[in-house]
Amino acid sequence: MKIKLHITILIAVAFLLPTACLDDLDIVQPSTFTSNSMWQEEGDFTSIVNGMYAIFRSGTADNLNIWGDLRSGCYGDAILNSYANAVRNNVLVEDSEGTNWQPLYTTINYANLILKHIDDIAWSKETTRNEIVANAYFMRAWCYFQIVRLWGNAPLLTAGFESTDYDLMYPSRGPAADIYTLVESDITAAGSLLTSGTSRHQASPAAINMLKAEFYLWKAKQLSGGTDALNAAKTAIDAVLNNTGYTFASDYAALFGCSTNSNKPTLSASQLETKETNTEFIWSIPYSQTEYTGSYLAYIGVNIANALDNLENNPVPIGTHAQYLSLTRNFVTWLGNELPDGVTVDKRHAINWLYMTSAENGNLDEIRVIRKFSGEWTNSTRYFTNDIPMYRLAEAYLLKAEAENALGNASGALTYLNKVAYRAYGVSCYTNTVKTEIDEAIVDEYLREFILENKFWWVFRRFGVCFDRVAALAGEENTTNILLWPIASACRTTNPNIEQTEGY
Amino acid sequence: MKNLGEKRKKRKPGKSAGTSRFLMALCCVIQFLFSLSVYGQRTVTVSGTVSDPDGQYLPGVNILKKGTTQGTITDTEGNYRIEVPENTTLVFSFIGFNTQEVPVKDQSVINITLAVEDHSLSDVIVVGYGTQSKRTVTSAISKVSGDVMENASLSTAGEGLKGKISGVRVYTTNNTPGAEVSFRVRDGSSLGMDNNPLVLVDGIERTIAGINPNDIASVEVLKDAASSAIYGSRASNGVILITTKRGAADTAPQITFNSSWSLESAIGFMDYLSAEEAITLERNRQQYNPNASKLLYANGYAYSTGNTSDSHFSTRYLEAGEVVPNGYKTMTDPLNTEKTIIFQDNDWVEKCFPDALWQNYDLSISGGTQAITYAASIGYNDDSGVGLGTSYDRFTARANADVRVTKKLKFSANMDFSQSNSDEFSNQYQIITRGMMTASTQKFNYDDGAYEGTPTKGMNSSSINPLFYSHYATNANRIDRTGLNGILNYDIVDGLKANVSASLYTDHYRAESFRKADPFYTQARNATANVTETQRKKFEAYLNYDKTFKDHSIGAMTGYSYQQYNYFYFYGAVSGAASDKIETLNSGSTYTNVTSSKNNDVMIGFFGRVNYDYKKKYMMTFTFRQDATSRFLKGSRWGFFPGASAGWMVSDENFMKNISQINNLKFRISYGKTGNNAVGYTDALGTYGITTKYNGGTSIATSTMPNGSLTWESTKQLDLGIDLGVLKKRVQLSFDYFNKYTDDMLTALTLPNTTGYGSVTTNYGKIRFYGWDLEINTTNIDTKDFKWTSKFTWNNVKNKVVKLPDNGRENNRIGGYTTTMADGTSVEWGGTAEGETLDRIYGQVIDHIITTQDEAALWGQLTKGYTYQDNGVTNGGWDWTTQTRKGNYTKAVGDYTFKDLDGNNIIDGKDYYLLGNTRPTDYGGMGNAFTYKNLTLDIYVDWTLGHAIRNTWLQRNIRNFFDSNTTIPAEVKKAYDPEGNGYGIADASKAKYARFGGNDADELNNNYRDPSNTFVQKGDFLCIRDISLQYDVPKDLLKRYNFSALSFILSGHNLGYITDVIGLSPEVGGNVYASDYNTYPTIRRFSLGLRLTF
Repeated sequence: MKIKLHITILIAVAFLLPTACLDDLDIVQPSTFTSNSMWQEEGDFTSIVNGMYAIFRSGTADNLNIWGDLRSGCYGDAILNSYANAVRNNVLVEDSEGTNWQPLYTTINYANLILKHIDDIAWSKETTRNEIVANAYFMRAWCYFQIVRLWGNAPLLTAGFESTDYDLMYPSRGPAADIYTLVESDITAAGSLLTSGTSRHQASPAAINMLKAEFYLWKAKQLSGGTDALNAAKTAIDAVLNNTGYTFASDYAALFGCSTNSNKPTLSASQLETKETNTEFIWSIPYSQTEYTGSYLAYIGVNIANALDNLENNPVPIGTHAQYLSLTRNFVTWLGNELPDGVTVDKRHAINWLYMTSAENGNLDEIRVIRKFSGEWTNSTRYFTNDIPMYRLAEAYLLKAEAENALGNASGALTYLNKVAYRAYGVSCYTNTVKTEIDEAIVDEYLREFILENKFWWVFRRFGVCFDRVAALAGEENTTNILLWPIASACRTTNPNIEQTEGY
Repeated sequence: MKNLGEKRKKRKPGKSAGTSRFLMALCCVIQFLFSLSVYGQRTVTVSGTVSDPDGQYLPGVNILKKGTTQGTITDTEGNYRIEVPENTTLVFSFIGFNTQEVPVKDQSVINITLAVEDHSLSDVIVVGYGTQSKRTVTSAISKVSGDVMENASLSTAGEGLKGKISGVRVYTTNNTPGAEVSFRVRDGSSLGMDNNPLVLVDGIERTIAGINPNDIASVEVLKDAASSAIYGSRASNGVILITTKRGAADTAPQITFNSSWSLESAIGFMDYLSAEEAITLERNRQQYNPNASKLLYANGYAYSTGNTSDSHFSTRYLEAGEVVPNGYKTMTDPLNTEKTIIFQDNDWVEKCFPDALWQNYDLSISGGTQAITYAASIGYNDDSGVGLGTSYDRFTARANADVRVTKKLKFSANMDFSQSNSDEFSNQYQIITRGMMTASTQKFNYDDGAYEGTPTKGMNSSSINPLFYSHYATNANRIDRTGLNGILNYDIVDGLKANVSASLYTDHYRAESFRKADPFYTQARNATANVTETQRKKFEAYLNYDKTFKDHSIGAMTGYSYQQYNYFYFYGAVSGAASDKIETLNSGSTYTNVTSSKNNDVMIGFFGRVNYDYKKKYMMTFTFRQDATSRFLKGSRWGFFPGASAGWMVSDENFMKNISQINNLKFRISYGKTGNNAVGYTDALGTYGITTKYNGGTSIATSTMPNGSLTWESTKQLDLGIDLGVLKKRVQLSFDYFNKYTDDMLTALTLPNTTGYGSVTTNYGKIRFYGWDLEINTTNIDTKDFKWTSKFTWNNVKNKVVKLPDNGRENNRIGGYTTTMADGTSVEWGGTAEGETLDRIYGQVIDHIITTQDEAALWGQLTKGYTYQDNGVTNGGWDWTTQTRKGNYTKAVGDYTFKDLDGNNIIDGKDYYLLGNTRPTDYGGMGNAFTYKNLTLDIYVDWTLGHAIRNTWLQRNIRNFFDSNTTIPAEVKKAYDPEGNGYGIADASKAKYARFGGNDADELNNNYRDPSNTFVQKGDFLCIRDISLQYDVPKDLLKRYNFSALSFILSGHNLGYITDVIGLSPEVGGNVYASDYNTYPTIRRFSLGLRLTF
């Protein structure tokens, strides 16, 4: 009988077990960071600020270039000639490269969430809090400024998404004017919250002022902002110029860590160390082997399969990716032949690009390669680890020249234009004080100084010279929204309220 | 003990609670193992012989005094002698025969003929938490016996089940050695979540992988909701119950040794042109190419004469005075008849997929007494792998024991272990799909120059061939699987039984990879290692009550299940090792990645079942299960899954008694609800990512949008079934119609991209799967010497999306595209939409091939056509007539013209039409077994119909890209041939394909760039799966060696497909060129095996 009792007890226990187990259902996953764990300590906020920049970096890795450079008519004719044809030829259609605004809105969502939760916790130091908020405002402003210039009317979203029940889940494209208003107030807010520091990979007072200057110059020239806007731009740019944290490099080559022989690591060990602290860079996107290397820069190398054996890495930089990006023959010709009066050589050329012909197997091959930003050659592999500058002091000089010229101060404008010219040519070659000539010279210097730095299109647009400078756009002045971009189908199929940009 | 019991009751359940209870039970079992009582009485002697219906004497038959454990067995000639008490009843039992009881009375000689066991209605079916006689089952359950796999040379059990289970599609998704097959029960149930059925092996939830096919006694599939609802939340996709072999009581130990040796070879590869044909074709064609100078005369091109002795391509001119090197062939250059081209004609398929040896051995023992029954086996399977650098071996061990501790208490223990080792290609798309495009003129190894002796390089770093890959890369995977299960069965009172079980299943996966430095692509020497350990602990207890009162039988069962699942993952990667000698992580100089992660999952369920029948004529079953999962949040985590079924044995009604042809006829109806919770562990809670870094600092990313209301996906299924036996049960038919609706589908809802999230997992929408399963078993001929039996299954299943969340689009389409027609209306297609079926293929439709120059010129004027150079919207391409590419593009004779859906004179990605569907609608199989005296011939075929395959592999082959350096499929002989040089169709109107030109993407009109109907092929196939011939050595020959059986088996596995699919296994299906597509060819085996029983 004893065994019967034991077994009966045993079985009874077995059947009573489940009531005690129900709590097991509330599991905390040991290696997942859930929404329950978020927004609880200061580290969560500093980390998500990094997360915001990281998502911006990967999301815009190609787009920065597509949006900023490829419509300028200066890029194309690489070995593989199929990359972003529609953009390069200015025949944009739905689903052309760069027509999806997703990366920008994703970044904006981070900023919105930070702003939403910033006061969920008590902050040990107000300055830490303000720095985080300033970064959110800065990135939100930068992204919306990009959106409004790319697409005009667009959804204006200022609250972060955290669940499916949200009013603006399916927004429509609101008026561009509202977006400009938000950009302006965000820049102001960011500027007032962040007053010190020279962080080069996040918001800094100088970076905010660069954005501010760019914004107000745009407002002055494209939105009838008048003298007020010009003065606001000038004030912002002066703040950058007066900031002792930045210095104008004496050597353009050193700026990008390039050597003329690509067979060597283009960055020496000491250069690699200093690329993070390069004091001409005000704001740049960091790239490194251990974090992220997948930017558009990977497209400039020549695939080993296409490379000519005797020129591999000397001087033609070899990459694993097919060459997608190069300068057009016309642009290379212009760069090489059309130098300012009194100038014989542009020191930037050797750094920026290579143009040569080579005979192999009886065929004459033309080689046109962008050499700037050619990264590191390590373990027989090319890693495109150059930081991509978003703002650097040379642009501050050109913005200053632009603002002064617009305000009628030709000599002030020439002073700063010549700073850039002097480093390149060894002479201060610009002397003509005619306003249009100065503007023309500023645009020309942008083209020589900022190859592959995603500035060309925005400069053309700000100066209103798209139809003069871009052959494919000549005579298209009356085409509806020709300077705007169509919207990718991915933006519309997930949200029927989004309408295609008029004209596309 | 009482105190201990109470203490345990209060104790919070920890990880070891189940295990220690199990140990306690084990102690009790051992303690009382020897307390069995035996008693004796006055005896008489009985003797006789036992034979089978054919008069053959049966050795080893158990003869027991009824109600005792005492008895004897027959000798080798079927004789027995036993002393028994008067008025005893003798029980004669033998595997495969019906047990027979004979009262002794006053007989002293009892000769018995045992009847062969009737597998039809007396069969016992394993159902959830119990068994049931097939006769009273009212739901849809398929059963196959493990015997069906006995003679085939199988690496995995799944291979042996294709076409053999009604209602289940068993198909190969990867032919690499050791890869497990996929199961779909009635096509699954979910749109976005897992569609794999729940697999339980002796009650342990696990994969079927790692199971020795010879260990399997039976496979039961719970197809409808009423039968599977007892497994509630896990059962939406059906349940597969695998039962392994156990010993039978009072049987002498039986030892069986099986072995099988196979020669394996790859089948189904594409045919290619010979090197000479390819060179002739390419050289004739490429002379008009704008890059002709490069393609025809430069170094490094497959069909160029400019290669040198150290090039990877062999094609070159024979130099003056040069002797034709060994292994080279010669031909005259079609472009310059004064020159001789020398070249190699290499068969890359044969080189990369040579024949291989496959071996299988296993040794098993089973037997038992009244007190203990046991079955155990060890097995070893070795597949040296047809593909270079791919091999597989598996060791298995299994032991099942049942101990009758007391009359009322039974303890069962199951233990199994398996270890599988495999090497496989890391990416079949890069290594096989693209590698097999290697031109036949490419050398296997460099025969000169700096790389002499090493395999030649591929098209580029991501398109290399198996020869190169196997030389420079190693991938070694090992999986150890262990299952432990202890079960106590206790008869509390008459009819009431308790069953308590605890199990532990561990799956330990280890993978290592190393890439040696090669001179072309990478010198980084990447090494990786990862370890994944998953463990599932389960504790279950249930009470079962069965009682029959006169004509009424009732059964009731209730219990609960507690299951805990733990997952651990570790991964490390390094690069920069100094040499190729050390392949482990310690050799690397740079740590590129180290990570680990863990996940836990808990499920608790309560379940129950009530059966009732009246005279076994009217039957009803109700089941329920209430499940909770840790994946959903409080408030949404409990799901209730009921099921009900009823059956009517019509043939037992009086009005049927006179219809002698019908032996049994049963109608069944069932309805029930099952669930699915296969979302991510934290999808409900929402997650933030912590893996990226920014500027060296930690970063947090928004990764999953929280959805606190996430809850069970549920499937409701109706099943109407009929079971029929006619002609003395020689024809047994079972037919089921089913209709299932899945509601609250757990699916990733694509969010507007302004939200910052791509999608959110949510419950929405409804999908329907419907169709029928048919199974027919027949005994066609049954004579003394000759027997012919057949088994036939045919299944039909279709699907339709019923409801999707409102998103303002037509049919609430998710994804897809919109084409705006000329009249302003729009056509939406692609993605998923209400009223449509799943897995559709869209693409362009060929209108015709241009046959005249006049028409070609017209196309130019109409600006219709296709080339990507101008963003895919302009006209034309390479002008064949004028031999120019610059300027206005135009079409040429032999180019395709495509249908223009929107009529805008631009052929682009908006002009796509529905071309097919990758999901089969019909599948089935047929087996025929012929026995003539000692010979048994088994033939199995299976088929899958009603679907299409997007054969992008063929498309890419014909495209001849990578600078025309690829091989050329023989299909080009059906393409338009502009020169009429014999490698194509000279009349464009009769050509199947547009002109083949080499490098279609860059130099031609992109005839083959986009998906089009030309390369959407009917996926239908019939596979001659297994043929085996078994010879049983006559028993009297074996007697003198004390063997009880010896059989020799000749068999063939995967003998061939009848299909329209060109160049690949039709079974894998789908979209062929996808990077996750498995191109490993189908493997055919010819085997010789023997089975010896002691």
